[in-house]
Amino acid sequence: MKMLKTNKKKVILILLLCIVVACIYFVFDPVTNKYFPGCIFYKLTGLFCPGCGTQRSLHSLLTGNIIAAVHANILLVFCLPFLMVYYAIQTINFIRPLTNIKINIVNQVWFIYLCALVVVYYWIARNVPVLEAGFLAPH
Amino acid sequence: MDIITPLQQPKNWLAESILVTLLCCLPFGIVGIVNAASVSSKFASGDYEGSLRASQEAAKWTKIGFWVGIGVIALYFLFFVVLGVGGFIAASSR
Repeated sequence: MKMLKTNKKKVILILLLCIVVACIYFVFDPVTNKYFPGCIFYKLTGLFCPGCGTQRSLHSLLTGNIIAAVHANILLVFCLPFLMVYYAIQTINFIRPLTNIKINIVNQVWFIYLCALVVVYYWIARNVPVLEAGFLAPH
Repeated sequence: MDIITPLQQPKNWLAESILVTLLCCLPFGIVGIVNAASVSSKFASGDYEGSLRASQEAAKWTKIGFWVGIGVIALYFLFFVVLGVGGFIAASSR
């Protein structure tokens, strides 16, 4: 019972945190604002990682500019709806344990390897220059 | 009436690993995804103990990635705050 209570606090905290982060990225543009952190991997190696452009992408998505979001990080734009559905279902399961909706695909080994492959290929593809700049690179 | 509760697969941290990969810019997320695969494959082959261990491993790497990401953001912010305060002191002492 006590465990359930601490979990409840955790879930509420995470939801609040998400709202705060969304507000920050809605109001401030990471490009013009120097307080936003840059990617360490990019600073160290000069290469793009799968997460480069995520902040710009989030800001563009929140302000309704989907094309700019896709240019910044297409993988995030692609993954976000799935992740949102996943966490929405998890939250529903948490609030009403009796519903217990199962998401079997995340437990399939082939699906997990597919995810890993997509991320790794995306990582490589971003750094391959096609037509001067990499076409998947954040810009 | 007997109710048989089948063993549930331990949490494989797949979604969290992907989030860490996309948000924290770090390779730890990939380690998390690979461990997620090991959780599921061990559970599918009937090795419950092994999949439990893999789940803890996946959780560990995902959390490392998460906290390093938070740490970087905090350091970044701190850096600019220190710079800002330093600049203010330098400007006012001139």
